Amino acid sequence: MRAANVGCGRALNNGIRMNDKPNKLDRLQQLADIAWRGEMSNAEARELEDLLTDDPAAQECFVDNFQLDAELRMIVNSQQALQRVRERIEAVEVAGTPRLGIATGSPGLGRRRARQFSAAIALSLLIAVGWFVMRDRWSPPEIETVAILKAAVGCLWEAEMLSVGDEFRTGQTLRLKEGVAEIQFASGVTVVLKGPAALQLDSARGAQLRNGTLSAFVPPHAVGFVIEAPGLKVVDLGTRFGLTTTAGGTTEVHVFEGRVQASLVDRQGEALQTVTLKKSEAAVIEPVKLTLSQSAAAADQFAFDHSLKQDSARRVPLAINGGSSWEGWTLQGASNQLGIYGSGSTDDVYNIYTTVFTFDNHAVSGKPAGSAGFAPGAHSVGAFANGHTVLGIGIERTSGSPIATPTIKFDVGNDSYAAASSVGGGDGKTSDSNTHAGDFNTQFNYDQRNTWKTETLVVFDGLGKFGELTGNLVAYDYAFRAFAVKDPISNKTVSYQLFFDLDTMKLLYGPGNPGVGIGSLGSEITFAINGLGNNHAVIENLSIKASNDER
Amino acid sequence: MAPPNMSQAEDNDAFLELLAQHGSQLFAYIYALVQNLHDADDLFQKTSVVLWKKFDGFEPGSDFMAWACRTAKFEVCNYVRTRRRDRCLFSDALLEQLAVSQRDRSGHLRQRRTALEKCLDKLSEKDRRMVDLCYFGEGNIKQAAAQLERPVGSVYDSLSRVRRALRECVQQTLAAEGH
Repeated sequence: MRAANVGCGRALNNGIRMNDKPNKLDRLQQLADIAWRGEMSNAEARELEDLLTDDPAAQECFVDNFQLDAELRMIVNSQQALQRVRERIEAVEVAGTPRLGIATGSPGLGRRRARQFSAAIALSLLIAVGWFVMRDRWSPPEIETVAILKAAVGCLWEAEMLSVGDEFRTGQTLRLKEGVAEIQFASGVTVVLKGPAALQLDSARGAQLRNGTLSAFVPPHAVGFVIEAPGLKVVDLGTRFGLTTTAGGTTEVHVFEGRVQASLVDRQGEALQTVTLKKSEAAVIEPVKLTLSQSAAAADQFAFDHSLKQDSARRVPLAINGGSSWEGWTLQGASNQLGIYGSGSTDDVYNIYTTVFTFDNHAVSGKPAGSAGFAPGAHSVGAFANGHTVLGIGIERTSGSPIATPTIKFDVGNDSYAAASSVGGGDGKTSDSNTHAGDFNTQFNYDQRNTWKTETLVVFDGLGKFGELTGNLVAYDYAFRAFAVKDPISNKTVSYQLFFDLDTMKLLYGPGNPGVGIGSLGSEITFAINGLGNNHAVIENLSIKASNDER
Repeated sequence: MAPPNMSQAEDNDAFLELLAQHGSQLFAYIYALVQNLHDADDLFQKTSVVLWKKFDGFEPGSDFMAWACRTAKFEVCNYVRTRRRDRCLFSDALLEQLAVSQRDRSGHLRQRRTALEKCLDKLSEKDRRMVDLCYFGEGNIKQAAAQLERPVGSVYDSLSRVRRALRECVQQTLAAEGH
């Protein structure tokens, strides 16, 4: 890992005695980081207390961490906030009464005292709202018509009889005992409610499903429509999804078209975890246990409005076919895009895809080209077993030179490689000279004769040396596999799909393995990938968790 | 309408100047003691109000930081007493030590802030955007993570990296300028 915090170095050099443990600084910095995240355990708090007690230099270093945050907030929110406070104070002084409508104190006070007193209150309120950020003045929701009943089929309502054309107001809760009701919101959103269900209408742009089942269609101008259900908050990013609370106590959201942002929320409404769900994806929330898991969308339990025409319940398989299609993969971007471009040509352009999935050889589809599939080799026993987490990285040429043997450079600490600051810029960090201990490269060789040459694994020690691990001539010695697609006419490679069995890699090459020792892959990784020669694209901070557990 | 009271306006100015000068150090001190941004905000506001009310008693030219930290420590102690059961916080003894060790660093901090502004400009576009989102307004990392469409833990990791890089950059910038 990187050396200790440089900023505290000076303070601690003055304060630490010679016989202090050399890693006190590192540990202090580590604990400060944990404290900053708000994740301190009892034991850690006691340890921190010990480190700080009677050590003013260590105390200064600790507070220094939070100083940085204070400075960043000030800079980001700008000094104008202070100026605004000053202006409002002056306005208060001139007017003689506080603008925020607070009582000015007892009538017996003289005029000067009264103004001073009111100014103090005004100032305190202004400090409250104005120091770091000027929050907008809160205004109460207005009573208005937020939705109307557009259609009703076989409906039995709990309270009064409702008929088509009835208007609903803010805060009204519709309790449907049975039947299907179509409700149109003033924002243009259509919700189809299937009884038994209870739906609370918060506004033209938001509602809460207390229980039951609904589907929603959100037209483009109403994107941002928010719907809540027990343990879940959904923000629609356009266009069609379903929401249901089941008898088992879970809440589910299924996406049929477009995308939604789904957040697991606790009882205070705090979002604990947020995922973006695309078409055919679903999330299942357990409000009591506070968990969120993802699965595939299923349309059967929902009723839809008349405008839904196609069947949206098709399950999308992951394509493993060298890159002749990318169904189920996530497109990270193109090699000549800002934030991805690392080095080389801007004309040799390739798309980079990733996926993370749990391996199941019954579900693997597609036809790998020129390989024996996922069968393990002599030195990677157990690789690609069912249940293992697999990282897929794919590249697809879109223009320029055909792609050659791909090298993936893994940066386990997210601190070695970086995209250039501009497309075509020269400040991208993609060369091996940037590596730290535990970073590693993999290289795949797929030559003209459709055979795989020995793959290599190169591990860096952070001190300028690296160890190269080459297997025997058996092509599948490692916990990686590569499949490629060639252009039939030119016989040049146009795309690759590369797979890394993360569980086996950890076992075979992870920390503690003598002679190898790749760093901890963790939940995030940066990698650089070459399409051709020195052309490098960098994907930073790729999350490689297959499940959705929060760390 | 009578014209504004001149000495009141001067008082306001003097207080705001001192608060502007020392505010971030005062805030950092409180934040370091309670380690929770939302609570630190509340405590900072409470402390500012108390300081304003007691401002008549402040000797102009004396150590504002020392005076402010005493008040802040009192507010923090009240807070700690009510929260001890659900959070791990420092002992009274350590709180006392931390209060005393807060020397006025406003001069040094001014230089650091200028260096920090320069270092912020050196961040990549992606990192700068993340910093802007994470530090704007209430500084709610969960909201920022949602907007960035990334898990919260991942944003914290990236922020740790960026903060470390900024600290080092500030150190180098100050060293280069001979501080």
